[in-house]
Amino acid sequence: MKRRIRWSVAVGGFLCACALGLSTACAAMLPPSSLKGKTVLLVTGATPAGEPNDDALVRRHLQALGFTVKTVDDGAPESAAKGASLIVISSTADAHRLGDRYADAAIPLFTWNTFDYPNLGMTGTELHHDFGVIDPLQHYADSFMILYGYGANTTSDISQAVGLKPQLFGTLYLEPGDAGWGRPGPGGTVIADFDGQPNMAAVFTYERDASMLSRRTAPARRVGFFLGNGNFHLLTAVHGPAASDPQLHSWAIGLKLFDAAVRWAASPPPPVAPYDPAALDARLSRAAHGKKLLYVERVNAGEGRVADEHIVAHLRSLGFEVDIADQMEPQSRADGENLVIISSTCSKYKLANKYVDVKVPVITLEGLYADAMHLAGLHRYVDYGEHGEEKESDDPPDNYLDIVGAWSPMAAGLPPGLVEFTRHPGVLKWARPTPDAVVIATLPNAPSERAIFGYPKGSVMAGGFVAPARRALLPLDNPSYDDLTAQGKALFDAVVLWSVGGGG
Amino acid sequence: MRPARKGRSPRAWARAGRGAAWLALCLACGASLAAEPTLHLAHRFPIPGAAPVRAIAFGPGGTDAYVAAGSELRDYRAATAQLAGTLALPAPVADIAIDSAGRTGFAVLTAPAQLVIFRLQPLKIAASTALTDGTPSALLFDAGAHALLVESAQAGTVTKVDAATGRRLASLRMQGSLRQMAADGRGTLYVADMAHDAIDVVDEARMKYLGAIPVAGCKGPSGLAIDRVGRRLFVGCADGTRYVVDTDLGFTFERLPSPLRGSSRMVFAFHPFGAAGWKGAAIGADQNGRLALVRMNAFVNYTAAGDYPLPGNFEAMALDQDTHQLWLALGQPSSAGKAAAAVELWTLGATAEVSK
Repeated sequence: MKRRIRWSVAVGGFLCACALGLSTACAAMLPPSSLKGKTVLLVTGATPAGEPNDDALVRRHLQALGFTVKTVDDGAPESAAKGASLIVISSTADAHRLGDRYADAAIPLFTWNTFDYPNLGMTGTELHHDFGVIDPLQHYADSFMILYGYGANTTSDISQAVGLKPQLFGTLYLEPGDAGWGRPGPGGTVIADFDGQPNMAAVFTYERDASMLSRRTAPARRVGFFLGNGNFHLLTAVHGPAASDPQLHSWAIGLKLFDAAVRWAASPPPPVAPYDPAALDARLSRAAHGKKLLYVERVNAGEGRVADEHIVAHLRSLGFEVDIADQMEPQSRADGENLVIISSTCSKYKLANKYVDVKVPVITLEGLYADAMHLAGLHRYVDYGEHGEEKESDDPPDNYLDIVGAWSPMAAGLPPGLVEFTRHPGVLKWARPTPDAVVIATLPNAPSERAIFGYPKGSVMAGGFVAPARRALLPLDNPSYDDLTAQGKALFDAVVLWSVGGGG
Repeated sequence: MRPARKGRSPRAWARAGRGAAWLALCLACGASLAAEPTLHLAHRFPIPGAAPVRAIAFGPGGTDAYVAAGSELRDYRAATAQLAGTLALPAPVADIAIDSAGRTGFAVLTAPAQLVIFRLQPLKIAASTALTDGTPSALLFDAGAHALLVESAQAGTVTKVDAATGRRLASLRMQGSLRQMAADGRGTLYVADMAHDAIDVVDEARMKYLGAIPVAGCKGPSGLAIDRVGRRLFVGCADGTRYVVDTDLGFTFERLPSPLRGSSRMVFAFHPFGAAGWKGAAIGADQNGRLALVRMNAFVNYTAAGDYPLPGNFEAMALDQDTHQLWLALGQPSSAGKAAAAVELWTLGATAEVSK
């Protein structure tokens, strides 16, 4: 049996300041100066004589960042990581020899050993489908493609640290070379990809407790990076007069991306408040105080009318000042409000793109409005869809969700895995958001069909639309509110709390 | 030319002997090796006098080579190494440069510091002017930008001078320990800065410091050459490592070891040999008498391509872009261990594969 290595986070003061995850600052990365003295376990292997190997450069670079680096080869036991703040695995290590040695380590891990991704549960196991390595010998044409990355995510800590934009950037200097990619699991965050395809992630992360593959959850932060054996020195950077050119500054960010990803991995994850519906309600009440909320519904709807009334009553009980707007009223009803919730009693047709560009947070309970809201693409039943709707879905009704983003305050402290959302099987909507979304839950056995997710302000949503404020999808079909379980209600409250700016 | 004798590297010929025997051997083995350049010794002759050679420069079309030693400038026919003329200068020379289009030469002199402008044909002083920004250590004529730039390592200055009149136009005080200069022909000057392990970048038109390019891993950069087509800098560092820098991005992407040590100089020529995949060569030489080559395979691909012990102390070097001739000045230490008592000039030419 593997011994689970605990990562002790010596950042007590920092955690105190982040009590219960109410501060957005909690998600921030440690400043570079805080890396000094932390120990990195660098796991390397041998390369044939004459073949490029940048492990020594990586070691020196990590030392320059302030780390104390302990280098071991791929045969070292897992216990070698004891006391380390970060495990770094080079592609020179033999993935077969490594196996799943560090998979359960509760120590952050940063790897560019692509073939080890499946061992760590970071991707599936099928080469060329779940992960792959492009090299100039076998994939000469593609080996130029990997010189260009695409900024898939603009709002993560890493993206913000680098200033990543939804555009191309130079990954490696112009020489065609080796690079790996992975297709992360449902709880993964794609930071940058190749060819604009998030399924070919160049850089991807898992927050602690995020769901990876095969029901595995990340025991600590995980980062997959695209490097090969000998091209660390080719990670792009710009110096001299060219560095003052804003375009070049945003282009040559390969090394900055590496550094930011390392720093993120070595930073403590945000604390997660445990599942406690009463405490959650209390936090939401504090956040709701003095806030105005516009609830948009089909007034006097048949099915769902009672549920709408109960939702409004709940929101008012929390302290929100709730205004009700009919779906046909103009968008200007949102003026002066702090939050808009669109009920699933609304008709997407009659809504007519309303509330898409309002500058306050919007929660959509109607999943089929996902395309209009730019929560997902436009292809019905491909980019968004539903389970359990008679004649409109091949999939049966369901009442469970799969929590894949347990680390997020939107997950209400619920553990990773299945959670009973409603008491009875019913209609559940889903959508496929862009990599800028924070995904909380998927439909069971459908990891790409995301049921609960949120876009932070400034996110690049579907079609390149930039979120004017937070946006969230919560799949609450017409009468379902009254059927929510306690966990379902907690998820509702957690999404509302996140949307109004609480909970990170 | 006699057919190449295969199987013997240029390093081997250099080790094989010195003097006349060395010369004969090299002529016999104008080696044609895929991995190494086909250098061969074309001429070897003494330079009279005890003063070390400070600079070599080629005239228009590479037909003449100008060699500065002491207070004398000598004009040699490049093809035959025959002396074509001499010019007496009023003070010891620090460096020379040639404006081929203008058929004009420039020399910076020390004690007293001054700039001399001279005509090439016939060899004659046209003008001279005092330099006021320190003792000159290097001179560069950037034909593309028509800028004449004088470096003073002692004062830490780079001064721009009117190439027609010698008038001082502007001077820039730098912070580092200045060594070899290179210009891109488009108005940017690069200066190796040993003190900061970086290459300083200067806007020639405004004589404004634009910033520094750090050369990651390089300690004590001194040698500097530029490929103006590929926009690459070749940097020679104190531990012998040569770095290739993309000037557009200020990015160091190639690192090539060599046995060179200490201060060095670097020259580059595009397509100097052509054969066997050579697209260009950067050649470095150090004070200890070693020569080392960087082979350009492509704009993004360079390899270390051999090194050669030289039978003497390296003093000066020039590589002609048109004829691909490399001229090296080597000092011969006296038996008493004093300063160079005799100076010889070698010319290393390309093989017949090079067409003019």
